[in-house]
Amino acid sequence: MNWHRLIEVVRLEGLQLTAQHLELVGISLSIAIAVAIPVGILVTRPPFNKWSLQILAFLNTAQGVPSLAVVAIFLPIMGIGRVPSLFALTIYALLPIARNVIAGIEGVDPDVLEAARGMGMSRGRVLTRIELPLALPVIIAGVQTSAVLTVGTATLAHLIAGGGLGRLIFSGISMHRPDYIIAGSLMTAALAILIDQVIGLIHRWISARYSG
Amino acid sequence: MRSLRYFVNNTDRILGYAGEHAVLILMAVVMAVLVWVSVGILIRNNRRMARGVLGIASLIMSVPSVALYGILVTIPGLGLSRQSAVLALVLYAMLPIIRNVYVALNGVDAAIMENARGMGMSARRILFRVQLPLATPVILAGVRVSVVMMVGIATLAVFIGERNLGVLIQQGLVRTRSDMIIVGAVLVSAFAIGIDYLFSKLEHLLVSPGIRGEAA
Amino acid sequence: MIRFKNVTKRYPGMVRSAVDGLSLEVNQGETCVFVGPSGCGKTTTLKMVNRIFEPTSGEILVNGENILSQDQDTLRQGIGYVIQKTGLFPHYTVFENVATVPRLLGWDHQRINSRVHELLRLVGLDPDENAHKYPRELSGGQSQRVGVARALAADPPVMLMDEPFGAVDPITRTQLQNEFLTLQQKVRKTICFVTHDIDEAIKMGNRIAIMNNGRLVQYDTPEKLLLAPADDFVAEFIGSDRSLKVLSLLPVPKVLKRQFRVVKETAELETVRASFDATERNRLVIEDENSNVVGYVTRGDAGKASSARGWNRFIKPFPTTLPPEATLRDALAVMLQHDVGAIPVMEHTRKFLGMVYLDDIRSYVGEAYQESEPEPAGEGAPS
Repeated sequence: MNWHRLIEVVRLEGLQLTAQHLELVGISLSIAIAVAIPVGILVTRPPFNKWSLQILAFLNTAQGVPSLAVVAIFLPIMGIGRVPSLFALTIYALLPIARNVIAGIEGVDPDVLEAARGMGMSRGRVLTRIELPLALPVIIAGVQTSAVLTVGTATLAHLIAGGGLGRLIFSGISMHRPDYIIAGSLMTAALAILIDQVIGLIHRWISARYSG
Repeated sequence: MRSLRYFVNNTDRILGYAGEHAVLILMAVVMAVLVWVSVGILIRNNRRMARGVLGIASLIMSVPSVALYGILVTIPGLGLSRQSAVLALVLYAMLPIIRNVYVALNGVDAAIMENARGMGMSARRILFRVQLPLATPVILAGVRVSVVMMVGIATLAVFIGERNLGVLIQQGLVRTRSDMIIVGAVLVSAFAIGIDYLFSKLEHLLVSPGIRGEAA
Repeated sequence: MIRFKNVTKRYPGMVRSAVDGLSLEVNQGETCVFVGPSGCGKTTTLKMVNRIFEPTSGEILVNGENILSQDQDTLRQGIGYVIQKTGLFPHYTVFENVATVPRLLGWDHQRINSRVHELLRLVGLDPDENAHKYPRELSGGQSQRVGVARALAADPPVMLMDEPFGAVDPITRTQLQNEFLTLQQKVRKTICFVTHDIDEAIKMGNRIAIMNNGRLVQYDTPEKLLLAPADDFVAEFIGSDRSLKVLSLLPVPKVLKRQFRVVKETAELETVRASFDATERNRLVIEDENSNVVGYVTRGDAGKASSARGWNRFIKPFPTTLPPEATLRDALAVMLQHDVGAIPVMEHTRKFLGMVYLDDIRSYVGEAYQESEPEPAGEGAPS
């Protein structure tokens, strides 16, 4: 492989595509967090909490739907381009976050909740002071999973003309250009690992503050 | 409706894709279980080694699947081949399987371990008669997670030459044929859910009734 | 049977030895209870016998043989082991749990089967009902019984028991203790037993080893321990109620007044009066033709009677009686409950054996203390 050509690919297209990729991930992940956390909390409140376990099971199953299918399924309705890509990515990113919000809150020790209620804390206060802080590690883990998945799924946006690093990989495969494949793959992988690590750091920082 | 018609008209072709899908998954699962369960057993008493192995595994886990396929096909000797596809799936199974094996083997109640030793069971016997049977539900859960994941990731292997259910989605995308996309998406999802169900039955077969339903 | 010779155990990174120069001998068929506050080294001592921990220095001999010269697994297969959390294998049935060691020893099916059934019956579990249950289907008390059966499976001469009844409720614990004492009468194992509960130690042990800070403070029979604590630590550990505890170790016959005038209910009044003349006591025990006790007559009442047999109507039944295996503690409790100063002791056949008097209990215990405690040192320090 020609290292010179690899660097050239990164310089000419890679940086711009990375920016595009980050934008796809950033926007869809932000919307997903903004939607999934309130929805997840809502599901654990009455009257919905009766079905929270079933909803959790459904979300787990839905996670089995392949990313390629999610990206493809909106094509007939929404066509191609940036907006359908963002839509598909957001939907896919919602699942792990919502699942972990529900699982995290449901996982809080019932004795702790009873103690909190017994001390006269209101439901709202129990949520903000007890349930959410205790569920936070699980919720952040969900965001982490979701972010890594979204970085990967965003490579598929290329297939519906949504841009991103997928372009380098897919054109590399079809044109038999290993330099393209390697450049695209390594940059995507690096991006995913980086985001994973950053969220991991944020996680540690937050949990250190809470436990300290 | 159109999707149903497409399915009926192309049953043979679709069954062929499903067969390919199943073969790929089966090869990957067998290999992943053999290799990663053994690795998990080997590192069970070495915390530093375990931390290193699990670190590598979680790094691999965070590499997007298209990127991993991309990296593997550029490796001489692998290329656009089934080996690349199988290897990618096996690599993704590394974290869930090894982690669960390691955690479950070390999670066996200290009192049980002490009694096993106190009765004069050898380390080998303790591993095979006590630790592994007790760890089975958790190990199975790890395998289950990885297999369900594999089913989805395998669809992307169509871009490196596999001819499985992913072909329907990929061709649907290229030709803007929603019926093909839907058939592909539904079948792959059904495949994943079916395997999930299969594993819940497997638990009944492999796990002692004394501890059934405690993990997974 | 089990001999500790100057055994020391030091854990890496610890300044103090967990066990420091321990020497003692557990006789065949006896139960030695190791007791002391947490961190005193009692559990470490126990677990060195089956080499869960290895001694840093010194020797442990089981049946005259140094345990370090034996194969570790073979040694352990020959030592029954019961721990607090039972450690039953949750994936094995009760049968399989009990069969663990026999299987290790390669017994044939027939022998294992009959042995497991025998053992389950021995610990009071119906084999047909329980053999195929899994541990999670058992109550705490049943689990402990299975744990004991499992430890006895290969009929090991030695048993190690680490707080075996620590995890069950007080009522079940008492029941298990009693059952185990009965069981030990039959099996006569050499037992090392660890507990932090001095009452359990007194109840279960033939000898008690009190430990503190890794050292053996006193090794004695429960009676000696209670009557003559070696130092302030032991006295305090036993508790200020040790004089009460010692009562539960002493059987009633120790203070029984046997020289008692017994009169048949068919006797003439003259005989009754003669009997009163011959004794200082104010009561006569009356029995029937078959030597069964029917009650007593007081001196005053006997004086009121006039006809030869009319005295019979003054016979009063005893409000309560004691069997000969009762302890002084039982006697005292019954006396307080019925507000009496004396209780007759009789066989189950109602044959009269003698009387226990409150005063005799008081003086017997007092004398015992004086004998073993020339100076009133270390008297029941307040806790």
